[in-house]
Amino acid sequence: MTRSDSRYVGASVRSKEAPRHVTGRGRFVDDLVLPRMLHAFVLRSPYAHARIVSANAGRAAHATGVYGVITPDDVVRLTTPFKPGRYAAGLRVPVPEYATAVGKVRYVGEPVAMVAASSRPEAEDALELIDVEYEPLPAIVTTEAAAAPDATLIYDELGTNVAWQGHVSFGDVDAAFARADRVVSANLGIHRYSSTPLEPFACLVDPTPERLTLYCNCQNPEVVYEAITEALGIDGVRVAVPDVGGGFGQKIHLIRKYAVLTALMAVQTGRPVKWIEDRSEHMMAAGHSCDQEFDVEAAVRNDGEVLGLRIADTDDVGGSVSTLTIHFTNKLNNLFNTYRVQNLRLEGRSVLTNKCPVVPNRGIGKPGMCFIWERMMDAVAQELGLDPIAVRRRNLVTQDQFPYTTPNGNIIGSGDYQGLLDRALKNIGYEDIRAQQKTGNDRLIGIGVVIGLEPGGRNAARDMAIFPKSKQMPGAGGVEGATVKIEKNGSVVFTLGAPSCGQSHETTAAQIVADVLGIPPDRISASGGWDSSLSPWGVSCANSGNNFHLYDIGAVHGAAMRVREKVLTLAAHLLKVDRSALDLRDGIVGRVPSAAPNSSADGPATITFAELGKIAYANQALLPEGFEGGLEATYYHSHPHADPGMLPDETGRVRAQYTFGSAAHAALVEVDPGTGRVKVLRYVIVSDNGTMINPSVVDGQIYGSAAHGISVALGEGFVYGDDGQLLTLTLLDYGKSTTLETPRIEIEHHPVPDPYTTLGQKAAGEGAAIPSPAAIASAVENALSPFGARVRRLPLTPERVWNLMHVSR
Amino acid sequence: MHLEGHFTVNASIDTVYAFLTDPARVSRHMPDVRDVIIQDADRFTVTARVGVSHIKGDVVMKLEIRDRRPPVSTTVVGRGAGLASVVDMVTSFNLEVGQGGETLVHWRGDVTISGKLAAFGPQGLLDRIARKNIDTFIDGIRSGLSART
Repeated sequence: MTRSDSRYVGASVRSKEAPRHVTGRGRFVDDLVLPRMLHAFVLRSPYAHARIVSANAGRAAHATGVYGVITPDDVVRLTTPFKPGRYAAGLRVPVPEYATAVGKVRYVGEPVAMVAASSRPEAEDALELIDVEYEPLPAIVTTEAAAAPDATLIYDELGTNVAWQGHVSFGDVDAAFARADRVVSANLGIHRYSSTPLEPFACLVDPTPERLTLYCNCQNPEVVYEAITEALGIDGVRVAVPDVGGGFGQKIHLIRKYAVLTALMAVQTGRPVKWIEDRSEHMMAAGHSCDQEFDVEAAVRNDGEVLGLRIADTDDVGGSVSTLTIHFTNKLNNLFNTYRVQNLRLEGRSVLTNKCPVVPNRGIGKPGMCFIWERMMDAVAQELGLDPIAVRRRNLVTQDQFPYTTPNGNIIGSGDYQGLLDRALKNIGYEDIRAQQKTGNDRLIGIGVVIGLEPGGRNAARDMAIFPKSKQMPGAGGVEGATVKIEKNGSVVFTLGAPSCGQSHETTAAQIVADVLGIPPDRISASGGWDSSLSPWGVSCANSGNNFHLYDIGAVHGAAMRVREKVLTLAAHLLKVDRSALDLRDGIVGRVPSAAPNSSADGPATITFAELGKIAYANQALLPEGFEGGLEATYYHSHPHADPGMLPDETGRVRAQYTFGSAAHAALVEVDPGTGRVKVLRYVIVSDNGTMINPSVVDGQIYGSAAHGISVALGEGFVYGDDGQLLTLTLLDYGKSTTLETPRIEIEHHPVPDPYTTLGQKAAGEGAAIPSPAAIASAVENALSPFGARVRRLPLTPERVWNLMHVSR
Repeated sequence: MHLEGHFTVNASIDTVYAFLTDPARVSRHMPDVRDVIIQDADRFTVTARVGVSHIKGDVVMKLEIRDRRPPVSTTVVGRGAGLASVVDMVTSFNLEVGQGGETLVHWRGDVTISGKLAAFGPQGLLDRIARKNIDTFIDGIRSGLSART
């Protein structure tokens, strides 16, 4: 199939999933009910830091309706600790981590025990009967306090709360600073937040004698699959992922604790066990993004050229070592953003505190990396008295440089960064706004224009870049499968190798299959949710890392092409024509109009998929010799840069991700001088997501991720008290923006096809959440220019903005 | 959360001291108590109904009378659990004889709330609830001792 053959690729085909969801026919974990099913509830730590002196389940075990209680002693006795994964690549000494706290609790909400009862209220009531004696310890809530020499240790094994320290360096940074006209510096910060998916964690475990089945709303099934297999020591594990109400990274990692706990409870009671997390539990313990603080220095020439960057990154990783370095290593994905700067040194410190562990979260370290670059571009412009757009243009990778290899090894296939900026400036009316600002008025209106990358296609070996001599590269490369099948009745069904979390994967994949097989999307459906026993999964099986556009699209396209070949072979045999004379359209195989008649011109000119299906599945006698039965094919797709043997080299160069979309964001804001409240007047995005399969779906992804990034910039986030207590347990306290605060997002597409992907597609998922915090920061700073204020930290709550105005005065 | 205050009871210092250090009598006047179990002269367990915003239920508080210095001071230390939270409390009483023979009771309380209920702290909700409960408790003590202000 070529782009010119496309009837459905590129069209905003109506969503296949939406009717199911808006009519309440979605099938989520909590919709599943099994015979004899028990309901579980988790007892969580009320303390930020405490020793567990004892945990006695005696009273709870005898409570009404209770069938099982699991305490930390049970977990130690009956399970093995999790293996430190790639997210803990920086871990220096082994630290056993179990599904519950063992010996100590290190953050409020850490799971301590589980009860299963015949009803959820009975389980919740019984939790209160578990007698846990704690010895409270000092809670550490800042990285400064944690790093103090006399700080109470959060993990005794490590001997320090600075759990990892290291760096990556590319180019000759010292030389860049030596030849700079001046050095511009800033201390920057991004706070803790989450993606708050509509559906919190959910697990249902069915322990049949043959195997244990986990129904779970996880994003990366491999994580829970491995966790259960290893923790419980059983091979017979099946993981099934039904509909998922949003992932965003939240459901990759910590969910494994609950999968193991629920599985252990099911094994212990011999019954199916369902555990559904509530909102407050999710807010306190399901994982946060990282507090990040950056001390940045930029070596610059007086004309605005940035020669190099030095960054000292301190990450507050919370009370777990299991995700120690993910926010650091994910910065490798967009380490140079869209700029051709050649010299950069990034030093990192991962500091433990008594807060919720950090997890992947809509871009992970990438919003931070983009924030660094875009804040520094504005800072350089201010320092040099230049226009901030001119400074960006001075440093952008230019079109003639593509494919462009960044100094840390990423290969960016294509892009038009100048074009994105041009269009964003035009669409928001940049020159007019600047002119109006010069005429002066009393309103505090500001404009910010930034640019950012959206990396796609995960290379899990990236995390090992901080250990360039490591021989172990778990998850290196990238491969993912898909199966396409023409059923006996002529309809088409496909199975993807990774689960969907509500991003219209069924719609998008169906469009691919529709074009390849020449059948309308409404006759194509997904076979169901993800199932470890049925789905063709590979190392890239993950609803994360912006994987879908690369691996699943490539795989389903490849599988459909294989089925097309079988269809043509079978049809040519049955119609007695040369297969080159055949075409597929609307589920019918027939001669192309220009094809010359042949000897069988008297026979049927066409054959339908249904007729082919009946023959392929039920009439072996009519199959051509050597024809493999059925009309089904599986294909595993990779990417030309996803070399599984690829290791980070001695300098840590590694292809962190494989495709690179990009976008320019322009924000127009107004600050209320009396309250400091920021209102976003307009928000414009010009986006390059490569070839779009379904523009409406791409728009949806952009709307959602931009709304989140804007909300993050304006105030959503977690707040802890000095005692380590989480003070933002509900969405109201957390400050999530509603539709009232969210501006209309104006999107223009400026696609530049990727030369290395199946159809030229690039990622279209978390992208708009990456530059949007920087765009809002830039615009607010511009609005506050009468005060000389510098925006260095997020979130821009009314209080912080008010202080910026008044402290500056 | 730190709270402190004082009140006057129209009774002798010995009577007030005996009252405050008698779990059976003092627990009777605690607000919203559903159940009291006396372990011994120093230790008792109180189950009380607690409601903060949408979170409502029972908190089981284990209390211990310590540092008895009759008739001038004592301390009550307690830890309660419930509603996915823990309440740690240290309350001290210092008694002195007033000019008219009445007893002046100075009290200081430090309460630490951990877990779900702690999230209500910054809104001032816990402070208000604590104040209300203390007022109820003091009124109870006064009535229990036929107090006058």
